[in-house]
Amino acid sequence: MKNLKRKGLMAAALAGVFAASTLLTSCSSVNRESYVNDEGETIYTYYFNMYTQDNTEYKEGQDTVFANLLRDKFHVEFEYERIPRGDWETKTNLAYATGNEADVTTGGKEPQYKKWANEGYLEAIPEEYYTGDDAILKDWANLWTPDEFERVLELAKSPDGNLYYLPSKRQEKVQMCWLYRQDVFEQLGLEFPQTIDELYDVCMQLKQAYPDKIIISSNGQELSSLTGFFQAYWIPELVMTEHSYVDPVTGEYVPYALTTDNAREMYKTIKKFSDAGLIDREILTMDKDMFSTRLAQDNCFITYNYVYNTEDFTKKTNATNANKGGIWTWSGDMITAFPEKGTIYKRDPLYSNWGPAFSVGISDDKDRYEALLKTFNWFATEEGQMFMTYGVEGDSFEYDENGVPHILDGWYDESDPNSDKDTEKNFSTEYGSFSSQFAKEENMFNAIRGDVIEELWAAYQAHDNYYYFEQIPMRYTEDEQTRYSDLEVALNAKRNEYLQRFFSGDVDPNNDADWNQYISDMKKVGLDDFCELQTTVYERTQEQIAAEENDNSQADATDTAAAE
Amino acid sequence: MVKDTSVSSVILDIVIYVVLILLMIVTLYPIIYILSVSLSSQAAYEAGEVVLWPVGINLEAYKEVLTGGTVPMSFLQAVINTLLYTVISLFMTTTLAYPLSRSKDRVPFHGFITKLVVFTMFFTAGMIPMYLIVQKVGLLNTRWALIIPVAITTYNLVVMRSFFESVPVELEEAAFIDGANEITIFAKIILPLSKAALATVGLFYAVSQWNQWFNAMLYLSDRVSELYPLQYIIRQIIMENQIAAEAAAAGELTQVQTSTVQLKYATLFVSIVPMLCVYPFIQKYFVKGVMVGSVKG
Repeated sequence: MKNLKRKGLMAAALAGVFAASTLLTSCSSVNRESYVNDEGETIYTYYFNMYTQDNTEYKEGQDTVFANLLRDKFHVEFEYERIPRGDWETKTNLAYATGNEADVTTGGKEPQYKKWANEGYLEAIPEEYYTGDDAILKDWANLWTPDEFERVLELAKSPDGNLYYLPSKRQEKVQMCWLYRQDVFEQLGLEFPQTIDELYDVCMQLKQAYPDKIIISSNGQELSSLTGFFQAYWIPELVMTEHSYVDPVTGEYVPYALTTDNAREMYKTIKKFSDAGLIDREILTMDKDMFSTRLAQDNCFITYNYVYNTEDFTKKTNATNANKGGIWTWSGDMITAFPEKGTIYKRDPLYSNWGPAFSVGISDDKDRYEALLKTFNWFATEEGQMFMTYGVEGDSFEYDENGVPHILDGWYDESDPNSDKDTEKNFSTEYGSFSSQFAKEENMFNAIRGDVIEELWAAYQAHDNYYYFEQIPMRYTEDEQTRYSDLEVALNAKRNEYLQRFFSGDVDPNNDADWNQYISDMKKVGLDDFCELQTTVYERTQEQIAAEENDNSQADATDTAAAE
Repeated sequence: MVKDTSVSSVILDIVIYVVLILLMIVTLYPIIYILSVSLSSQAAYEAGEVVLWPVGINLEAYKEVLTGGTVPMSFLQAVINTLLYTVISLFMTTTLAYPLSRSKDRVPFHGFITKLVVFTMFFTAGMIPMYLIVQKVGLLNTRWALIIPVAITTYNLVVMRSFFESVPVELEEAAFIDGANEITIFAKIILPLSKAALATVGLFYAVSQWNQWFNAMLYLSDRVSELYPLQYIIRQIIMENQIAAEAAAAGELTQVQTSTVQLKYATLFVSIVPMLCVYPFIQKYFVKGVMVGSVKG
């Protein structure tokens, strides 16, 4: 018994030592917001959270061309936390939840930034920093026209009317369209269709000519493989993630798109195409690699995709037989199920929303905060865009006699399909910089995508009664955001289940009982609550925006009167 | 042994063989397909010519996997992590399981520790408190973050404890009489008698660590990317297509570089090999070990 007591004391003592050492280890912190360099200048330092999306390597340390430039120009230093894109959301959420957040966060999507703003993790960017001629962020604001910028703010602001992150300019006006095998269409004397009935007829003719082949396929997987059909039925391309829309003709707000009569008609059509063997049976799970095999095996003649992918698809189609003569081209015609009403195309949004956002408390040191904002504003200037897109003149690029910049030989040139990032020098490994922030320099953008996008835009504009869905500003409170997330998870699961079942033929959208069961099941997981929530938020946001516009008009009138 | 030659017995044998052969095909085919695609040319794969065997043999993918820096380094890290984890986990599991398998009179806080252990089977602290602990004790961005927090799995502890309980106490009493202390008895009598259980639990631990990527994602940053284990690298490769699609949908102008199917499959195959090699050698212990605790009396 005495022995047992001694053992007990020993065990308790060891447990105590372990607990004490744990506590002692935790009592350390590092303050690293700034330092004074040898010249007596204050250098501000920041943790910078960014994502990586492939095996791109970066030159590390504070003695890179990029780091030296930022230190000399703005007295700032970034220490990066680079997170693989697939893990970015989990790790960044964890960082905020555990108080390990970076000073600067890039890579999010608007709902995430608005959620973090609601939860108090982000610093509101004061309006004076981006309005007026002397604003620190004026070059960033000038990426858009004043009207566009006003719209960007309407959409990007949080429910409290504050902006919590800096959107990037979306340089493509349009990029999605129908692509088809030009050689096959010409061989059969077919024109690309403009209505869903014409599409069915064309597909049937293709099927008759190639009975063993798949006619329509896509590499978009569940979220976007059927988006061409969505738009034919006046349902937005991004409905799988955004759910609601405003009809561009009637102005009606639809809080949940995939349970409407239009959605049912679309599901019926997809079933009709599927029953006739016109759509790829694996379209909902098809990834890029599988799609490549479809192209190589002539198992796709029509797809909905990015306009600039035609060259890549042609290459893949001919990969197994160089003499095949396959040619992919794009169509400037979208397909509609309601020709009398009009046709929908996808107009790209005015902005992309991967940040940066700044963590709360960063404005405690105003000089440090403003140095950071000035740096980000520089990324939007011509000089900043040139550096981020072309690098250093004389080293990585040169201007030609017309003043057009060109990447020099030996450097990776993203506008050149034959350039190889793995074997040639690139900015991340040589300069330690990352890809363009806010916008790509215009010459490079045009070299990569500009021409074909302008052609597609012109083709869409040449049509009468072509419409697109406007983005809808939605400003959720924290409670509403939580409710939205919970309902969305449940609805998405049920919707995806039925999407699969409609597609596989397990349930038939033509059958009233099946359709009603779908609606009933959706209601059981919160469809009505979701619609009520969306409508409430939509209407309140519209009122808020109207009030803000009214305030701005009054302020402008006061300024004008004062000036007079 | 008398062989049963009745019709029903023969039919049963046939059914069993057919089922087992089907099971073997279902198990083996994906592995053979992965190997075949990784050894075939891109053109043959895209043309749909690879069904079972490689077509247009091409070792480029393996050359790239083995000469590139990332995969060999992450492979090495995975091997080191697995070895360390298995040894440490076995040590900690056996040293906890053994006292818990013994009489309350010999072990202080026996009931309390048992309850504490059982508690963790049903309740976990969750990701955030766990992260904070790992951070506060200074394990973040170290290899130990992948090993120490998960060093003892309760299920394995229970298996081990059940095995130790089956070892007769009389053996220990005899050793006591001969002058052995607790540590000597544990090291020289109990452990040598527990090879089957050690092999089984060790295999459980090794496989779980070999397949581990989530903790690496949580606790390691790119500042210590040389510590990334193989499974984490594989996860990134597997997700490339999804990421490329997301990037394009988000309107990103910078093209996401994706690996070829051959490279993906070659990396996958390389990750399978060690476990394929280990299993046959410990199978005899494994069969005996998994039965531990299943029959009492």
